[in-house]
Amino acid sequence: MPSSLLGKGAISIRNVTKIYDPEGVNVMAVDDCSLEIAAGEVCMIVGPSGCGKTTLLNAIAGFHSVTTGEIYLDGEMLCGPEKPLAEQGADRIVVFQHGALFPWKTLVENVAYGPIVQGILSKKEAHEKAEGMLTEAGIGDMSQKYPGEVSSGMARRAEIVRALINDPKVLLLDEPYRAMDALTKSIMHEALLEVYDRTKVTIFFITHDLEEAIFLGDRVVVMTTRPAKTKKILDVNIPRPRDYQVLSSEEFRLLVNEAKDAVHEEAVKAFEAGERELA
Amino acid sequence: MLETKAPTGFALTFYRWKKNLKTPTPYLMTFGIALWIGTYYLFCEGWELPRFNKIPGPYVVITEWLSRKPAWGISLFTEDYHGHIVASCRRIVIAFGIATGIGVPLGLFMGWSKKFKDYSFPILETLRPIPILAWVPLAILMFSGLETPVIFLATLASLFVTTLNTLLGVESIDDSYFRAAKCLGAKSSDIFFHVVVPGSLPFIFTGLQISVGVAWFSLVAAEMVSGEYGLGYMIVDAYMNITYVSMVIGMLTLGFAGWFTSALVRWAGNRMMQWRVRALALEGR
Amino acid sequence: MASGTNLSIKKRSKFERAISSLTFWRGVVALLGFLVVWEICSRMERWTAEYQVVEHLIAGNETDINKVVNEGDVLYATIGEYGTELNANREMLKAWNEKNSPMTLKDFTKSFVQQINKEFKTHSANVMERDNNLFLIIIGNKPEAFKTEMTLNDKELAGDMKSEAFKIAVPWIGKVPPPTEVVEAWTEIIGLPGYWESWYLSTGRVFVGFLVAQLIGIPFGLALAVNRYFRDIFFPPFEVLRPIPPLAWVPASIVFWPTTEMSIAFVTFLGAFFTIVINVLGGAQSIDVRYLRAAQSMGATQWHLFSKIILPGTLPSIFTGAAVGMGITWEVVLAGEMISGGGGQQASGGLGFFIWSSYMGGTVAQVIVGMISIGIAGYLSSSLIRFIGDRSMPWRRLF
Repeated sequence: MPSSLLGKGAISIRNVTKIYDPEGVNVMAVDDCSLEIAAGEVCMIVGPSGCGKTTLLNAIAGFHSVTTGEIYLDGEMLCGPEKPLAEQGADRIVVFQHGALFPWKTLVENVAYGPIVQGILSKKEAHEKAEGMLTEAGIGDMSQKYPGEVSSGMARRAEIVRALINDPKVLLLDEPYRAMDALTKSIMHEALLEVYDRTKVTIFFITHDLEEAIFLGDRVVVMTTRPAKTKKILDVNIPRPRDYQVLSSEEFRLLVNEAKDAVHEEAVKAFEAGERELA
Repeated sequence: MLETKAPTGFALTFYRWKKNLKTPTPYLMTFGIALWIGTYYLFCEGWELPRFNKIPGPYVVITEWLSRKPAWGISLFTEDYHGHIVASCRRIVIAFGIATGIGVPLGLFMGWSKKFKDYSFPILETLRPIPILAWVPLAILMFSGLETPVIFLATLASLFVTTLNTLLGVESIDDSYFRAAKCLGAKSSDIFFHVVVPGSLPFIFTGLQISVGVAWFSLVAAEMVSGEYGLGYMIVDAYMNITYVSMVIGMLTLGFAGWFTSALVRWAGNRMMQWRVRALALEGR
Repeated sequence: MASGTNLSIKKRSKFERAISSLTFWRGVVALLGFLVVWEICSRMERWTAEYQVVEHLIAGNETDINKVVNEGDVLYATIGEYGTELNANREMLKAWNEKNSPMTLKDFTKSFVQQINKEFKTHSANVMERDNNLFLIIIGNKPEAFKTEMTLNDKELAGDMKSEAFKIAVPWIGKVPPPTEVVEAWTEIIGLPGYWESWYLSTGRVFVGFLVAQLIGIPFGLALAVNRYFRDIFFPPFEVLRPIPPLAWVPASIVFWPTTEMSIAFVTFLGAFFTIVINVLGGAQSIDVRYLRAAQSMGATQWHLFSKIILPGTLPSIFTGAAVGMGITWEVVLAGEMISGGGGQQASGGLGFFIWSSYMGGTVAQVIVGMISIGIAGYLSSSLIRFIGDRSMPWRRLF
């Protein structure tokens, strides 16, 4: 498994089942799902819309409880039978689908927020560090602007900086680049890879874009339609650091095709079920 | 780096104004107002149509309003007129202040704690359908004097609006902001002050604008039924004394006061929500 | 669902789900608690006032206390509504002096106390000496606050209301009759046709004003939204008049219209009209341009655009405006009824008049009955609008 020894934050998902109870109808979102993610691995989760990928992420982040099963982070139990809801903490930071930079704070205030509320840094130190990290990410000029004033790409980049300033063990990304055009997306990908190469943080990345998954990931986990189970795990052995030229390689093409076959079958099943997506 | 600063405040208003003059809109608007005043004049004063001739026309009203020696006792220069305005405005300030001071925290807590909402919301919803006017006799009984019941009625009316809009504001905040804050290690109190309060501000200010209007509405009603000063009383008093010109002056003054206070609230809102103003300005609004 | 073995899928009805939710029961507890607190607050004064004690200072030093009573001295007291007096006449003094030493003020007070205790069933009196002061104490048994006055030879004797320490009167709410009395008042009038006639009259006024406002307001709002020139001309006067509170129109309306009934209807119409127009205009302007373009690209005529896109697209706002307008309409009708009813004008009857006349008649419990009735009527009318809204917009019912 291509994981770095520098990395931290190994996630172990064991036999997790999640059943929702909206409007009196029990819906099984995740069914007996097990997955081992090594420290410093980029694990991409792929599956049809509304299959329960986000449910898994929510369970790790501590937004939702699990019905049965356990999740461990670096050997410590996050949630299990006695404690179905994991505690939320700055060791696992989520980057949301539509972005969740606080619109009422400037970019630098957003980035400095974590260290300040955790009481790690004083306000002044936090702002200095945040300015530095924003400049490193190439958006230092924008630090005094409100999120509503910058492009979605910049906002998303700032959001990742906001996560990294807390030095998390795991970065949980929930389709962060979903609404972006292909060109912006490729720039975002390179930026994320650059961040990864620098920090070796474990990345749990949900997407339904196969090329994105293979370009970024060490492993691609294909999920079945609801209830979600692991259907197939693809190892991506393209060496790092990667750049956009990887996209035109034969190896890449073969992997995409392999993934496509697996996903397509599930997508058809999901489409025929015709259920409205849950979140 | 190219500076892309959106014009704000006065510069923006001026820019829009200049651009606007090139469209037919301002001319049509002037025409609309002129048409309205003209019709009003002709119906009431020019042709003196039946029934319309009982209502004072624009010419009489304006001359009376601006006269230093008004025939019916109320004009821009009489102390009575100022007294009525001050009395009403004072009541509005007190009522609106109390309603905001109670309503905003109440709404915020209701949105923040489900338990608190579960207990307080049903009571609020039970009392809310009762029109404010129906409270008049009870208010007179409960509070002594003439001033307190009037203020109570105006406060009650805007309290409901403010509380519900604040609650709505908290509930409109996207879940991911709460989650993001918790992820970043925010405690409950941090979330309250850094997510709940700023996130609900847009709704709070929409609510406050409505609430100030509702406060005027109930104040006028209360002053008409019981009171010895204020614009609502002035209108009824003028009606009783058959000085209809003062009555129309009172109505127009109320309209202006209502518009002015609501503009004031909007201005305060924009001052407090620069993040929103700037984002909206970029969208050309 | 603690274990993975028992994952049955079951469906529950809306009612079952409500019953089983914590929110529902908390609401019930809150409302019951509200009633109980209200009941306690308004009864508090009467409960505690049972112990009302008034001390009247009869004499402030030893000499005065032991002063011999002269013929013609009079002690007088009013307790609540009734008064009583003891006259030191010749016969009485004679009867006393035969048995005892000459009658002192203290003895005189004691016999007055006996007289009070004989005459009043609801109050009792007592004599008390403290620090060379002689007091006559009146204690109320009646569960109501009472006032007392005492004179000695027409000289007022200071009364000290010791009861204030006992009487717990809740401010404001304490003056409102308790829920039980409201229910009692309601059961008394619920059978009377006059009460239901008030319902009928008010509801009629509300619906007439409301419907006229809809009939004029919706087309006007749509016209403002659809035609730029129309909006430029007619919106400014509308905006000038809009901030004037509807009730400020009442006197002018009474002057203008021949009957009070018509003037109430006019003000009611105005109240709803401004809200509806603003909502319709806002709703129509917020329709996504893509829908219009899509329809145009499929060859829709102007009429189609209006009737199939703009009108249904505005419906949600129309119903929002209608719900708000309905609230204002009730408010205005009530005000009209109270003002005209209070002034003894022609248009009488209606729930507003009911409240006002109950207030004038001093039956506060009935005022609250009227308030609750209006609350119910207002709630029912907005529920009706919501219901019609749900029916006419099936695409809005997602779950």
